[in-house]
Amino acid sequence: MPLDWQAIWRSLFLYQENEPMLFPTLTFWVWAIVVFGFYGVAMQLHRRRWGLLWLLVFSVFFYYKSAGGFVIIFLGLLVLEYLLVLWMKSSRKPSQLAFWSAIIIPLGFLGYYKYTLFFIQNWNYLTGSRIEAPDIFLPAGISFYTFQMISYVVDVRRNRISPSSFWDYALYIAYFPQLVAGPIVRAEHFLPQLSNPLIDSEQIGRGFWLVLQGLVKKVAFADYIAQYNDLIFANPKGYSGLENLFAIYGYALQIFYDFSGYSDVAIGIGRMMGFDLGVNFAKPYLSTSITEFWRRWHISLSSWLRDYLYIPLGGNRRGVVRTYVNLFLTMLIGGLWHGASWRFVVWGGVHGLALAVHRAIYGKDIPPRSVGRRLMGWFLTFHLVCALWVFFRASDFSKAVAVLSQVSTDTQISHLLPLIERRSLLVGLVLLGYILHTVPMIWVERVEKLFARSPFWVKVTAFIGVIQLILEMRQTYVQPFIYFQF
Amino acid sequence: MSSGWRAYWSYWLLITVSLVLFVKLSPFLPEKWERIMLPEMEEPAMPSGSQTLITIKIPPPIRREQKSSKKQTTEEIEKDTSTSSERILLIGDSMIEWLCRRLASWCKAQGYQLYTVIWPSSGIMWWGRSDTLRRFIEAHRPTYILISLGSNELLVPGVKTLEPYLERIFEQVGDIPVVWIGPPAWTKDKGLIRMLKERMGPGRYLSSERLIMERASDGAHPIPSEAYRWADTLVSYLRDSALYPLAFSQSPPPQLTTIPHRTYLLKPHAP
Repeated sequence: MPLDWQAIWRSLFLYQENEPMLFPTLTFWVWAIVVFGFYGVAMQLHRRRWGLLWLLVFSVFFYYKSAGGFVIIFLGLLVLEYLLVLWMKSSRKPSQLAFWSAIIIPLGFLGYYKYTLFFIQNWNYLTGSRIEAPDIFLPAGISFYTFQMISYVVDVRRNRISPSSFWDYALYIAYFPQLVAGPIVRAEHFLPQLSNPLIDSEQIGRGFWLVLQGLVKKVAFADYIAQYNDLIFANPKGYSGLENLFAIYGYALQIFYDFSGYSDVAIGIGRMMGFDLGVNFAKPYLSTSITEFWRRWHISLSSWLRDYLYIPLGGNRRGVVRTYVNLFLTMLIGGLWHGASWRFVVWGGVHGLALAVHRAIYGKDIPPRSVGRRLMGWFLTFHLVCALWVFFRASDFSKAVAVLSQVSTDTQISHLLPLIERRSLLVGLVLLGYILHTVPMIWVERVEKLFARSPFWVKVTAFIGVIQLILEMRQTYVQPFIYFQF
Repeated sequence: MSSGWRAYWSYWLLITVSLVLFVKLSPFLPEKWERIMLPEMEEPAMPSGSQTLITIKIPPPIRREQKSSKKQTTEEIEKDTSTSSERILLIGDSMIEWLCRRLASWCKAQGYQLYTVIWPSSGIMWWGRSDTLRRFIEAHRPTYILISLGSNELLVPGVKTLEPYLERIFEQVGDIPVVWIGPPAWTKDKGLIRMLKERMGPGRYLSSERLIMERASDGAHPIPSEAYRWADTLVSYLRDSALYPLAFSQSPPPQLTTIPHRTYLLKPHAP
């Protein structure tokens, strides 16, 4: 069959709205060969600068493939922020104007693109006016790179890091694995690595394992389970309570595998290039308290919120009541960061409330001691998190309430067997997903190491197997990663 | 060269070799460069208060049709003893999920009985190579058959390969009046629609590809309200343009939707 070269050209080089360069696409992997090739050659020839510059160029191209013309705004912000930081540090006493400009400008862009519609809708609702909402598209990854830019400015201001060269700074912000959906890397963690990327055989092997693991998580688990969840959340009243309940458990697993899958691939690619991007998830559904959950879930975001929001608000330094208020406010804003909707505000707000209540009862996360209390803590935490995911997933409040009401009024145990019979693959996948979630980290690391040391043909077979799995399991179009929308 | 760099290049080679091997060995040489296939999990939801999905009676796994087979049992499909003036059998893929409810409302108002068989992910090939349709015809003795297939085969190159399966479907239909509800194409097809139109001829094929419908998030399935509009178009066609017209009122039915007289939901597995 003759190849359609025009389609290949478009797929490789041009922005296509419906086909961003996601990790589970052939387009990305073709580019990966080129990127790794040039980077490796440059680094081996001791042309580190060229290697890093190449990564930067590709990262900008990667963003163009994901966000099209918004790359101009991204580049503009990148340069502007760097200049503002230079201005801020140009005198012995940091310029307040430069500092606040460097904070407000990226936040202004984020606010415009993300919250304008939300604001207008609510304004119209409250005042009865009819302001027409402009047609605004959210640029991919804006929430993530805005946070990285702000953390860079604040860290320079706090003298935790000194201003780096423009190229290092630009690569820190734009580095493609983490550019559009995190993890949110800190400058003090990333920038020092640029001077000496760690090319180590075991790290590369384990990175490759993470890449495969992430792809399987995304395509085989998250996307498949998503089909069922989409059905139920589209019309919760049309399904039995048990089916709704299963969709809640399913969505909890879907969002974890979707997002942690993306993080795995990003971290894995980083490791293969010699960069450590940190850890973003640590078996969050095994948490025995809500405080513990937020130390295990989206770690890069929760620690960012702690360091750049909770602590500047006063943290726990201004009395007990203020601590609770700060916790609540931090999560409320964190919820709003996820999306411009009252559902996210409720989601974040209840999480904040739960954190405050937990803090009030146990202080600074004293873990329950007995097995029974630990089990009870796990049960309550897991179900609270699951119930709140309903607000995260449902398209509106009425759907969220419908899901919860179906579960509470129409769940019959007699539906269990037919459900298993009808949806054996789905039930099996969800069960397997949760079982894999409980595998101890030490075992996971052991498997990573084993894989890293396995023969070449084993790895080739594994990679081909994953590609085949992607093709077999994926839907008509690759599902965007959930966190792309944030 | 350090062991780290040796590893780096071996992984680079690994990715390259794997992709080349895969593309070379893959039996699915890509038309759009990336092959796209998935057993989709679309299933219809029932309105509140009606039977829930998991209690719908499910026919047993569908066998491949065997000419010599004498055991073409239909005991799992309930025998029908209805004396309704028209018994309409609607078969199709997941596209008819919402259409069937609106059509059911029209049928109910007219006193017809609508039997729906939804086989998600199915197409002409699946129905043509199994005896599924025959078994439902034997069970319900429909006086009219509506077929809505093709959406899952829109992008199949070389539609000629589907012709034998299409003929097998018509063998099973026999001389019962039939109308083919054309696939509500969301993308340009590869010749399937033209083939279907030519095979069915005037009065037996409803063109759906020109209907402008708002689609669900998957970009393919019409949203419920659009599917209802599609059903209204179908009813107009059956009433005014079909070779074998069906009587339907000019005014809309009192209920927006209702559930068909009976709905069968088959597992989305190939026969």
